[in-house]
This record gives sequence, C-alpha cells and structure tokens, in this order.
Amino acid sequence: MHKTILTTAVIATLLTTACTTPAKRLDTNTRQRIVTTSGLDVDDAIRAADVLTESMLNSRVFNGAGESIDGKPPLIEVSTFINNTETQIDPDSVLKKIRIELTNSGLARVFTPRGHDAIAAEQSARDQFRNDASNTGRPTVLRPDYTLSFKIIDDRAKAGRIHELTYTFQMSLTEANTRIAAWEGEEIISKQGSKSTVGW
Amino acid sequence: MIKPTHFAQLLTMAALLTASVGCQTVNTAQRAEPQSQRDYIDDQRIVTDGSLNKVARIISLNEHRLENGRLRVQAQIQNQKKSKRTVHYRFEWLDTNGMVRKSLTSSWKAINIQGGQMQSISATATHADVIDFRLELIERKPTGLLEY
Repeated sequence: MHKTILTTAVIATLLTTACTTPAKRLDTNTRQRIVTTSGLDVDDAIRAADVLTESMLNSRVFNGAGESIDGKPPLIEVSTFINNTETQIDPDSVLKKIRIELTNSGLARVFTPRGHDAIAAEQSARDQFRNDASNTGRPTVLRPDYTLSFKIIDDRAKAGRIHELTYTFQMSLTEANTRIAAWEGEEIISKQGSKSTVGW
Repeated sequence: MIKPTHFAQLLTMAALLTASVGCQTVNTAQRAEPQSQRDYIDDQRIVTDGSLNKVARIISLNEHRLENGRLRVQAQIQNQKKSKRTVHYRFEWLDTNGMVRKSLTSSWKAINIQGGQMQSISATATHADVIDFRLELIERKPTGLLEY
C-alpha cells in the first residue's frame, strides 16, 4: 500500500517537473530569445541597428567627406522619429544602439535638441550654463553638420493560422545646410509563424 | 483494392516527389576573369561541425580598409548541399592587443542559403583600432535542440 502511494508520488513529481520550464537568465547575445509575430523583438531592434550602422559607416559621410570644418567627427542632430506602426515603439530601442556605437567609436558627435529628450535637454542646459559662465556669457548654439531622421513602418498579413509581420526601418542622414540627403538606409525584417517560438 | 505492387510504386513516386521538392539548387554565372581585385586573407579554421562545413563552406575571405581606417571583412560561403539551409554567423573584432572589441556589428545574423548557392557575408568594425577578426558560423537546428 505504502509502496503504491510512494510510486504514485514519485511519478507525479516527475511529471510536474517535466512539464514546467524553469526560468533562466539569458546571455545578452543569445540565439534563444522568444521570436514573436505580434511585435518588435529585442533581436529585431539589434538587427536593424546593426545593419543600418554598418551601411552608414560605409557611406562617404564617415569616410572623409563628413568631417566638420574644424576636423572633428561630424556633429549629428537626431531630428525626427515617425512611428507608422500599429504599436507603440520606443525609438531608442533602435536609435540608442546606433548612437552608442557612433559616439563610443568616435565616428560622430550626436546630440538631441532640447525638448526631444528630457535627460539630454537637462544635460544640454547644464553644459550651456557652464559654457556661458566660463566664456563670454553668450549662449553657445550647436549647429549640426547632419540631421538624422528615422521612420518605422509595419505590414501585417494573415493566411489561415499563419501570421506574417514585416517591419521596415528607414533612416536618413541629411546635410543640415543644403537639406540634401547624404546617406539613406533601409532594413526590412519579416517574421512568420502561428505562435511565438524560442530561437531564431 | 490497391495491389501491393501498385502501393510500392505509389510510395516510390511519393518519395521521389518529396525529394525533388526538398532539393532545389541555384545556377550561377559570372565574368570568367573577374576585374575586381580582392585582398585575400590566409585563414585558419577550426571545424567542430562537419555537417555545417558542407552547408556553409568558407570559400574565401577578403578584407578592405575604409578611408576612415575601419576594417571591413567579407567571406564567400557556399552551401554544398542540395537543399535550402539557414545559417547564423557573426564577426568578432580584436584590437591591437588581441582583446575583443564589443560592437553592435558583432551580433548574430541569420541567412538562408539555397542548395549550391554562393553568398557573401560581410561586416565592418566600428572601432579604428580593430586589426583582427573571428568569424563564427552555426547552423540552425530544430527548436528545442538549440543550446547556446
């Protein structure tokens, strides 16, 4: 009798353990993130940022032609972000990655004008106060060499139980003085499936 | 009533049909004597997955320095199997001290390669002090077997 109860308890425990997936921490560069067909994944954002950065890096802007008059890396102002998708997307999910790469590698000096970004506006105000105090008292106005605009579009389709989601990331770098496009890039990411899965 | 001989014939036809649908290869044409000049790299390979080495065989590696000093590397890979495969790859960047330079352009990327198709994969280092690189390739396995 006791043996039967014990065996049943062991089998029940084994079944319960086998049917649950324990939570685990993932390496940030893992290939095992959940792929969804309902929205923008972390991996989608990384891929878009990666491809657009590389395309930008190979353009003439970062190969001699884009330097400021003073010989410094080009000064880029992040100007517009248009989200033409059904969902709310934080522009920094892609833009921040590009900014980090451009700034930390010394390829460009990037700034956000006041009002676009609360933290950047605060920093900008502090810097200006410091400049005003240490120099002539005249406010320092940053004149960008280029402006960066960013747009995301989505396209959804369904065939039976299969969902398809396509994101188009469009980015333009425009010469601030002439308003002529200096570089333009586009990355399209399509996902298809009936349910979310783990892995690419 | 289907006779056993007819059933065997049907089964063979179905198997052939499935095999022909699964196998689809790419025909390629290019200039007999390419006019572009590539700066080829002598490479050292560590092959731990023999099957992947046929799915994405590295044919050649070449490099180019951009005007801003950044290293750009390109690999020609070929799927020597007869069916379409998905492969993931990434380039890791090493600086003058042999230290890995973390970069956005080092993230894993997926490519689909048709049977027999040759594809070029490339990446550009964002840091000017990058002088070396390491290319990693891995084949997509069915979900559930992925442990990375």
